[in-house]
Amino acid sequence: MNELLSDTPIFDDNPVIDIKNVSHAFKGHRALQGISFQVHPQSLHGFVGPNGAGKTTTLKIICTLLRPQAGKIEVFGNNVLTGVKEIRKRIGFMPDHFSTYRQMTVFEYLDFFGAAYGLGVEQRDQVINDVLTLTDMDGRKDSLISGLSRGMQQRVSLARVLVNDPDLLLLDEPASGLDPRARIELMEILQELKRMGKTIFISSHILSELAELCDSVTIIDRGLIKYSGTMDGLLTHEQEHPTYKIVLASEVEGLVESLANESGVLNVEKTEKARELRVSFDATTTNTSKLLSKIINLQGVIESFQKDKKHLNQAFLDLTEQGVR
Amino acid sequence: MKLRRFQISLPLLSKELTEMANRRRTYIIRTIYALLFLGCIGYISLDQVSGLQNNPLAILGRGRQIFESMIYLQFTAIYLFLPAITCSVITQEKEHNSLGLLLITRLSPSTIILEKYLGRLITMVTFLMLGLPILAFAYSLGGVSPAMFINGLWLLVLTMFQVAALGVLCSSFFRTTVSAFIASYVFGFLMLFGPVISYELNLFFFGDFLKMITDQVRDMPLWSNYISARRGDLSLLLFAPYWFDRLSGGGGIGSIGRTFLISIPILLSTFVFLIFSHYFLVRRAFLPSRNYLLNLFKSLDSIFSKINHNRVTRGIVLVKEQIQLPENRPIAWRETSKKSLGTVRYLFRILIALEVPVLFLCLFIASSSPAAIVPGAVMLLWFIWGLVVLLLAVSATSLISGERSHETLDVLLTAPISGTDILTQKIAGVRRLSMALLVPLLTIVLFEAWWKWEYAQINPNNRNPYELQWLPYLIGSLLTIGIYLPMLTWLFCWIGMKVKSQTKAILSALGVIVLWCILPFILMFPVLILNPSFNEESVIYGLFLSPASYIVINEIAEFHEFGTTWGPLMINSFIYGGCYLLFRYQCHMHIDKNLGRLDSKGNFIDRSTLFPSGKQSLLSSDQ
Repeated sequence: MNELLSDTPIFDDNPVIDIKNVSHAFKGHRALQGISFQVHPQSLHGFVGPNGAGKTTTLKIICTLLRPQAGKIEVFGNNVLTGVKEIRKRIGFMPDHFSTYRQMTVFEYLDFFGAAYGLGVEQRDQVINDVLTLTDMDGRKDSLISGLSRGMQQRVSLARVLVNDPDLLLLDEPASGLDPRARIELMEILQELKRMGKTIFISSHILSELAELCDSVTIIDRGLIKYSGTMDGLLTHEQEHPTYKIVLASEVEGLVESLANESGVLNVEKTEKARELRVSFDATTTNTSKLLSKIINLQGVIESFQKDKKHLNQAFLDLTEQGVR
Repeated sequence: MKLRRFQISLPLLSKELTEMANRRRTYIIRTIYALLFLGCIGYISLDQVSGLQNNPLAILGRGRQIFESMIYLQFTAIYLFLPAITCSVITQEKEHNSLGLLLITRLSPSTIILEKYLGRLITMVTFLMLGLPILAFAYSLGGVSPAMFINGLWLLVLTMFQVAALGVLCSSFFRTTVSAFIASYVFGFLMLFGPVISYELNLFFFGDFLKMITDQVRDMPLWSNYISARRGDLSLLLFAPYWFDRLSGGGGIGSIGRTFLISIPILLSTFVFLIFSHYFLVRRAFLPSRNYLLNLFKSLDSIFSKINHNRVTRGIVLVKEQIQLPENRPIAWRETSKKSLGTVRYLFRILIALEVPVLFLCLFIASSSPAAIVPGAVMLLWFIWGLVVLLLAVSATSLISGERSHETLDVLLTAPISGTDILTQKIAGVRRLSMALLVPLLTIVLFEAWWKWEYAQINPNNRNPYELQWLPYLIGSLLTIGIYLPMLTWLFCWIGMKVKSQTKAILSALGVIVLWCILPFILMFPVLILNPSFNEESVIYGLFLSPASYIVINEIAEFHEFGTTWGPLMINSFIYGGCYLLFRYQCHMHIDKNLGRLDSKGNFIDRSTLFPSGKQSLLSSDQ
């Protein structure tokens, strides 16, 4: 059964991907259990879930590699069962591995896929130069793929996805195994692509990785959708009980207990760091200004004050179940 | 839990045995082996007792023949299966990136080698143990001396040690199981028969050298009785079945002593293999992915290029190779310009490497053989057929399974190319390879046909008239080649689509072809068991259920039972022409399903379509 937690699930008339009650099983294991969600045009949609949640299965169904055993999927209005050709022409799929031919040069590899997508020779030259510029790979055109770093190979894969100028990009954990710099650069390229009007469907098992990038997100766990909607919606849900980290200039005896007894304050706890408190409050009865005033009234000198960065991870943990599957 | 106290401290061996015991296929293979083995022994025994219906007691004292058959079968099993069993012992760890983990434990390289070696030896011993009841039966019939019994078992054990050590060495040296698999058989063949071939052909004066050594050895007191100067025994020093044949005749303790003495070279070779396995284990533990054939060709390119840059030729290039990018058939382009077994330049080299020795050997054989059937040419043709099967198995099975293993298939499948088009383009490289392999096969066939024709002119009253019929021979051979090459290509391609891993696909393809070749004999056995008076001639055409039968019969011109050369030709062509069409149809009709994607009509038959209604399995992880 579907478990939609989104307060405002968005279902519009012309979604790029429209999934309705899709189920799929592998030899007794129910990978997808009636999932439903939509991805909207020109959006960057995150698809998040722990390992074994059903992300890759969903992606494979969307890109016509697997047949859904129940339910209906439409991509650009084409049913995946009947509009296979049309869908393949308009998508670019990047699996969770590089999928590169290591004995080819970067140009040969891209040219190979250009030809596979039916582009003419001259058109291919132009397109390949463009995607190499976009992915900042101009200088590596004649390099053998086997000699490239992991980050570079990931860019080659991304360049390959763009060769046929797809309207929808399906990226399966594109940032896994990359160092922080390569990760940031990849995200920048994705943002650029979004600005160019592409719809990007990106899967990951780390929610915070997609937080600043995505407009909307779907959280899946054990084949069930736990949340689908805007990123703000996910945060709003959490913002009813916001949590802040407050670092005091010095320890104040009895401050924790006194602050905990204040109205609207839900929880006060000391963190593992010295002089640091984690405070959560009820946003309907109090706010940050009131909270800070209360601390000052209790003789506390505030050194720093920031929203608890753990909130996204916590939201993810709250939505998904324990245990490795 | 009590059992754990008695567990020996050989963790790797325990792991190997536990893994083996946990695999279902262990028991399936063991059962098939037992059935095949018992079938062959039963077939031989029935053949021997078939004339004794009037006096069943006459079988007493005939245990020797059954015993010898059993020992030779066990030798065959060791030479056939043990390289396959051992070649993956280290490469498997390399492929799973777990060898490094083993090397940083307290286990030393020698312990790793020995425990792995022992693990695979135990596997083979379990196979050989299946022959124990037959051994007991043969012994109880009488005719087997204790010395023969001991000699036979000792040489079997030694052969097992030797072949397993060679497999471990190849596994330690090579990076992938496929390379180790091929190398085990090639080096095994060279080890056993290389010296004999070199001796017979006196390659690099090896024959003369061996004769000189033989003379020296014959002067030594203990060896003089066993080494014959005439037969070049020394060239077979590492081939235990030969020594079993030579030494099992004489009874008594003396023959045991002689067997132990003659087994010293085999033992020495075993130690050398193990020492080298140890040497290479760490040095070649973390090899990068390499295409050995492609690298070999590239180094040849640079050598030829250097030779070409001299004062006379000044780097002249007669045929300029243009680096072309795909026009509109990218997959075919990749298969024919990026793969070592598909590129014209490299295929030409393979062709030269095969054709020159074939021509040389044909001329050599022709000048030395006065018979209508030239045994050397026949052997050569069978050898080339073996090579053809091996090369086609590697290249055709890898077409799809290779893409799957390298994780490049999914992206190809999401491109808007139809499954049939993918297959047609994929097969282009293998087709070129087939054309290159066709040339040496045709050379030998044409040589043999010409030889038969010539011989018929000189000696028209030959004892076997079929030996002189060059036209049916030629047509039969050409038809066989014409049908078998594409049939094998499609069969292997189909296996490559069905089996997920490249290594397993290649091994399965070779296993299937070996099984298919011995199929009629397997099918024949239950018929003979159920009805001992069954007339074999009534099902003589059943022989052609094995693709190897016609090749063998046509080469040795044994058409007496058929009474004609054309009947078998027609039947064989009909059967395998049908198989060719069937395999081709199977590949084309179910291409999208086998590749793992929806076809353009959206049809996809998932093998795991049953959506469970009950509790989900925690062990499933296929997503």
